[in-house]
Amino acid sequence: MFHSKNEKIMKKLFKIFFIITALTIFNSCFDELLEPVPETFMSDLSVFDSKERIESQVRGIYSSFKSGSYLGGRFQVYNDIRGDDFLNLQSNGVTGYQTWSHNVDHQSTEVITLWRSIYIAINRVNLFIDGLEDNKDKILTEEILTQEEFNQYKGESLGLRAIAYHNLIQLYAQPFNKDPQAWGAILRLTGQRSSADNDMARSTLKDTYIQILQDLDDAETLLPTLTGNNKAEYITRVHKNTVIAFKTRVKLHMNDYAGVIEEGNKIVSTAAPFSSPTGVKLSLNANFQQIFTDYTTPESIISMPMSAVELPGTQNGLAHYFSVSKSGMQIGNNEYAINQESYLWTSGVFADNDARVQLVDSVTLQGNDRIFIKKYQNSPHSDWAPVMRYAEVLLNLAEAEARVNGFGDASRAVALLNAVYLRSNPSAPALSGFTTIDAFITRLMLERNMEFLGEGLKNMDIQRTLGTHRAKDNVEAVGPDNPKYVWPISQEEINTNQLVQPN
Amino acid sequence: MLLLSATLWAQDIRVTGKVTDSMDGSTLPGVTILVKGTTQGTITDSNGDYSITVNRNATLVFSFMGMVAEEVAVNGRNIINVAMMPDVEVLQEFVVVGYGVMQKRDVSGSIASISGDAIKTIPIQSFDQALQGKAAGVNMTQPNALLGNPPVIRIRGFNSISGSSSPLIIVDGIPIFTGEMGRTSAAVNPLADINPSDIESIDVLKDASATAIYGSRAANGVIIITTRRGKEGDLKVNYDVSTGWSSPYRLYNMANAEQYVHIKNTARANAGLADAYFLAYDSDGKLIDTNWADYVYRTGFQHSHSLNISGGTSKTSYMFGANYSNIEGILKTNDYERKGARMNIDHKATKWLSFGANVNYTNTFINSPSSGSLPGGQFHTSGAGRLAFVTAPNVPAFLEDGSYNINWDGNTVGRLENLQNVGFFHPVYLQDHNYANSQGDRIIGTVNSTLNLFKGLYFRTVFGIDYNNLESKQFWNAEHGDGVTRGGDVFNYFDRRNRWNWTNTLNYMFTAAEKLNVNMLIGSEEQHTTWNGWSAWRSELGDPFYRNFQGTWVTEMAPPSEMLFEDYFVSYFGRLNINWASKYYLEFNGRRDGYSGLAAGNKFGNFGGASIMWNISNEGFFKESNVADIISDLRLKTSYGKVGNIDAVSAYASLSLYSGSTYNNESTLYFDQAGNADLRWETSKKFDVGLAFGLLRDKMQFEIGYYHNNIDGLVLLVPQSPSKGIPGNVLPMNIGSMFNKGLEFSLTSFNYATKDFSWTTNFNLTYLKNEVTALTDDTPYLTGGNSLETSNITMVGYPIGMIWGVQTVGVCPDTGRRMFLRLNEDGTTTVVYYGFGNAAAWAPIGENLHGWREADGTISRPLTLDEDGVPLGSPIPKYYGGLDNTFIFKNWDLGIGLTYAYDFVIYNGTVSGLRDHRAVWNYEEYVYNNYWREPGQETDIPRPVWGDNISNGNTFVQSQNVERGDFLKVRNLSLGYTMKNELLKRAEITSVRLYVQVFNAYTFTNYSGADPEISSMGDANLAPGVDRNTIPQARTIAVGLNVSF
Repeated sequence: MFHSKNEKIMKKLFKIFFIITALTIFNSCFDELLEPVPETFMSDLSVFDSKERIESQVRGIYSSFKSGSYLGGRFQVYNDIRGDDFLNLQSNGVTGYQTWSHNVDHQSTEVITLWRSIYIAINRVNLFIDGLEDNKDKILTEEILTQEEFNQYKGESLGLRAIAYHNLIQLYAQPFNKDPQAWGAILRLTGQRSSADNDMARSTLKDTYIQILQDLDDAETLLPTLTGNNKAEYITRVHKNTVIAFKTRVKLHMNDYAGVIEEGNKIVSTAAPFSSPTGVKLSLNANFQQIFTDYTTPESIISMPMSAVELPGTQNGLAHYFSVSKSGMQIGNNEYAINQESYLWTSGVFADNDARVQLVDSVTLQGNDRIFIKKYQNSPHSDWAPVMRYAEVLLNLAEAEARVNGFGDASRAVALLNAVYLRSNPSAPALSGFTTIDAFITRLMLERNMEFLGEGLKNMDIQRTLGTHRAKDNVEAVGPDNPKYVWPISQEEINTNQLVQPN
Repeated sequence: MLLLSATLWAQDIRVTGKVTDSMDGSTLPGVTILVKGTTQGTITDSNGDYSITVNRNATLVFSFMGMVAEEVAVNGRNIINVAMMPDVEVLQEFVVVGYGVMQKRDVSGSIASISGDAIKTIPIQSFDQALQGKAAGVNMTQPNALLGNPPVIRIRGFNSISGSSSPLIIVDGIPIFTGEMGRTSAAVNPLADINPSDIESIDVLKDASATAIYGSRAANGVIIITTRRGKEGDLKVNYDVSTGWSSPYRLYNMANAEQYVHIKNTARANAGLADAYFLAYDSDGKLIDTNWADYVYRTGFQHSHSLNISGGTSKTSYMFGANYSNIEGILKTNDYERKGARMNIDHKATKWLSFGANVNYTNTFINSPSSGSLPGGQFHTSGAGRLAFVTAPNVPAFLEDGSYNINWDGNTVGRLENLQNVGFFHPVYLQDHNYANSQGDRIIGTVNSTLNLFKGLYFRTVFGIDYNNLESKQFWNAEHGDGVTRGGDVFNYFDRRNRWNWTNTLNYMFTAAEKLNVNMLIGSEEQHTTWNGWSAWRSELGDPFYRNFQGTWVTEMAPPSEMLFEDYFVSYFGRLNINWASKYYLEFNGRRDGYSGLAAGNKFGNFGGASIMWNISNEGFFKESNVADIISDLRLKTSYGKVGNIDAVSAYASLSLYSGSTYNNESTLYFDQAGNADLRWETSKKFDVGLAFGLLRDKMQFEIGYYHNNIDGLVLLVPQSPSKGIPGNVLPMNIGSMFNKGLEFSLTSFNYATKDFSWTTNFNLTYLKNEVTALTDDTPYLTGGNSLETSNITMVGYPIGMIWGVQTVGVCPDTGRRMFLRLNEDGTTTVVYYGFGNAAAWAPIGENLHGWREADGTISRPLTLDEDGVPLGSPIPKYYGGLDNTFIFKNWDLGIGLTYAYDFVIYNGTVSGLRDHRAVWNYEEYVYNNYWREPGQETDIPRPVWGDNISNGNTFVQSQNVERGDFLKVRNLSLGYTMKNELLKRAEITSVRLYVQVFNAYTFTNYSGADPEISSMGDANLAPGVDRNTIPQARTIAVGLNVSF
């Protein structure tokens, strides 16, 4: 009796013991579940662990620039439609109507979204450069990268940062030539990932340009000298000649003509036919139209690559804005037709057989004859978005040469201009006989206007020369003294950054 | 000997009979039958039958727990059947509490219980649709009649801003998936996978005392669903069948063809433009006048069947069930089909060990056209809800040759002779040629085991899974609609949601010193969830023949949506209940939760609550007083506690992460998420005080409660300077606060109960006040709405999600222009006038009338929502509740369920669209009857001017489109007949009930829109009360039959 009672108690105690043990083991088994590792995202701690990841990051920076809301389309569109070259047909606020009609405010979608997109790209550059430097010892001692690769990736990043800051101030700041002491960009040069540092003041345009040039010079030093013919992997990345080419644009915006010539001479031969004497071979492409179908001609310095699976996104693609939609050819959305009353179109300078005049589509829409440019022809919108072409370098250089070394018929300035002009109209007589610098510049600006229609240079050319955005349709002209001359700062920045200065 | 005794006991006779429950006619086993004044007696068997030999003049006393004892004189009868009345006072109701069950009277927390029987015959797709008006503090809104659209459930108001405000829902011990799960225009409500007929009870846990044991997931309240189980007794079969018809309820009265053409051309004439709209006639000369709603909507037929078999022995009980539902929605091609099976089983292996299992498998198939009725879809040009009323009436749906009236080149509805577009896409073509569907397989199952270690000590383990595979498909044809630009599209999505949950509890109950009752519970729980979702997209059809992903397509597109994440909770909890002589109650609850989404060192949070209750009616002094004759129950209780909400913290919110895609066909890696390692739980401090009392032997039971719920550390997405370049420009931070407070009142009254007639009433009323008390410093307000329309504002000092718009003050009788109130910088307002169009459009009325004008005709700055918008009212009802009455007369039963809500506003965005003067919009008939025609005319519809999308509110919200939503709804109306006759008895059929039900029978409201109960933005916290382009509610009439044998 005594014995069996004991046994009973023992049995119960055993059961309790068993359960407690089971619970304890169970709970300790699953501790790692509290520390889950995402399987489709990578921790910021591991992105410099291998060469492949670092290279992926570099491409990740490019993809941020390629965003449809930035260089994948909209940046170029906004710069083009501010001018008088295009008519807005859709009155759609989502596709730039306010920009076209000079009616943006702090809260306009384009003002807010482009600001965001450029700074997202800049922060990714900064995070990458910080990461490279922070992990430099590991990267080099563990031979994850060679010193040359390290330099190259850093150089590409710096070059991209310069491009981004220069792009930013095209719309969000006054021209440098108007007042170098006016407010430029908020210069963020270190990576941001926390809630700190919301407040930061803008730098002056002068300081902004100093930083841009510093980045470009550093990039030029760091980047390796590539050689050989131009090809997709050069056009989609920044190399030494890209940086130099971009410097001709930046220095031209500063009216630093000697600087433009100095940079230009590095990648433009002294006499025609013009091509780059060193580095990646750059030259004009004989066939103008081919530049926009092949994408990898010797002329493209940098473009944003697209494909059916890498699209700029709805209402972002250049084709959406500039291309036609008509029966049998639904490429674009009939958003912006060529303004046939524009200064360019009525100038009479370009003959009908000019390749650029021919590269258009005509259509009748609601009883009106409309003309659309035909540079972007893919549906879906997989046309590569041009960022810089060799023709621009030639014309940048032509302008600087004319200012510094004259514009006589035998001058390099005129030769450069003719190189671009005659490429599209080989049967035309060469331009000659300029009597004043103004006449030369006026003709040069028309050439630039014609050459880069729909490629995002129009606004830059107007503003760097303190020109006026001419009147169009029912939109009044906007000159340098008009507050609408530049965009306002994004309302989101004003809300969160106590130090930001308005435009 | 036998003879002798017969003579001797000649006064004794044998009495047999059956004892039943007078309420439902079911038989009562185990009823004690005593001969009055003796100890002689018997009990009824499992069929409710008894047999006893007694003196022919004896009196039998029938008694049974929960029933009124009945005395019956034998008077020489051999058969005495007794129908016993429930004794409402001694009826000891049980309620489900967290990890257990308690007697209702012992519960000191705030819990509302709804019986499964109260909802099982309502013709609904999902049980949640029956919750409206059923319990105090619970507000349920069905967003619209789209099948599968998940409900908006709020228990005592909104408890989060960035996270969910919907309650935790637990089915048989496992917290199940909730919220919209669909990936296409076919909505998927995971709650609909539970067959309403399988539900035994729904218990709603509201205050901190009741919910604290659920810790970090308790802030929004907890709903516990318990499914039916077998009971000891013979095999019982239950079959429920119903068939019904749904039709759209309260559609807009649209302009007919003549009215439409008249308004459009008037608007054009007013803008100086020629007529562009023309009436058309068919070849018989008959005017074409199309009501597009006739083509888009239908009367949907539905039928559902549910068969349950249950029973048990003293050791094993079981319930097997199978169910089938097939529901056609009011929108054509919106269909829902559910097939389900359930097995619940309980087995007592030994005196100290028992096992149980519940397994529910459901297969659902949902098809839906694009309806524009899900959050974010309001402005889709393919949304059937919108197309049904914007498309012009003067064009036909079909041409005379039977083909669709479509302008194929323009990808719009065909416009015949009209010179302008008369609609977006052709709704019927889309319904006929596109599809979107979701097919789900769901297993919700638990197994459990209980060990009785020694007297009063139980160990219980419950392991459960909620496993859901959902395949969603969407097809857009290449000829017309959304698919045209890419030559057709097909999207396939697959989502596997997999959750396991393991709960272990030790429960010890004992009574000491005869009066001290103690109940202790400790436990641990773990829950792991993975969500694996992937998708694929192909475009450019190889041939119009193909309609499936597996067909021939030319272009492979980037997958539209991918998900792969897991999260994990580990928790320890405990509860202590003590009561002294059932008079003084004390309860403590606590829980420590760890969540994987929080940063290391920050993962755990502690939550807890306490309550006290005084049962005055159990006090000696009370029992002896006269009051006790009237007041049969009197309890005073209060609770306080802190619970949490983790919903706003996503699975990897604390981590800084990189993700990638491709750049020129090579992989990329980029900074994609800035994590916040300081993120923690939102906390909700709930205070409750309540009084429960019963009158007249508890024939009337009252509960009155006051609650105050302070929510701190609300996770808000704090805007970061965009120049920092943080993806999304926001970081989640614990920064906001808000409170909900209010009163609840509920009454259950057994007004009248006799054998032939009974009448019961349930009434509840909730008063709710919500106020946001802190947001982030940099953002004075948060907005809500659709991407194309901001309709709500959330500001400190106001309830969450106020409707936000510009104030208008009618139409100027002299000029027909809308009058707006401009907000000046000094805070004053000025009346300004708006006339759309150019000077020529207004020249006939007067000069200087176009654009924004001051009263003196000078130009005013344009009004905008940002500068001139003001809060126009709260869309959260201040008062809401329900009133249910049930009458039973002999075999007939009648139920009337009312719900109501009072003091709130709705933004009627739909009507602002139906007054837009751009090309593609039809009008309400109201516009035709009331538009401003001549100077001096008093009206609220301005002068129509072609292209005007501002004067009537279609570009920003205006006060004339914000209306009170007060309503009283006859939510359900039922009439039943229960057959009881000998024939059925002989067929051994226990009960047969035939009924007719009307769901959404009638709405009393002054709201001019489709339905005051609407939520176009679904469950969104920041955008409640928006009525924008969605389909209306449905009215369903059903007939059904319940058979038990």
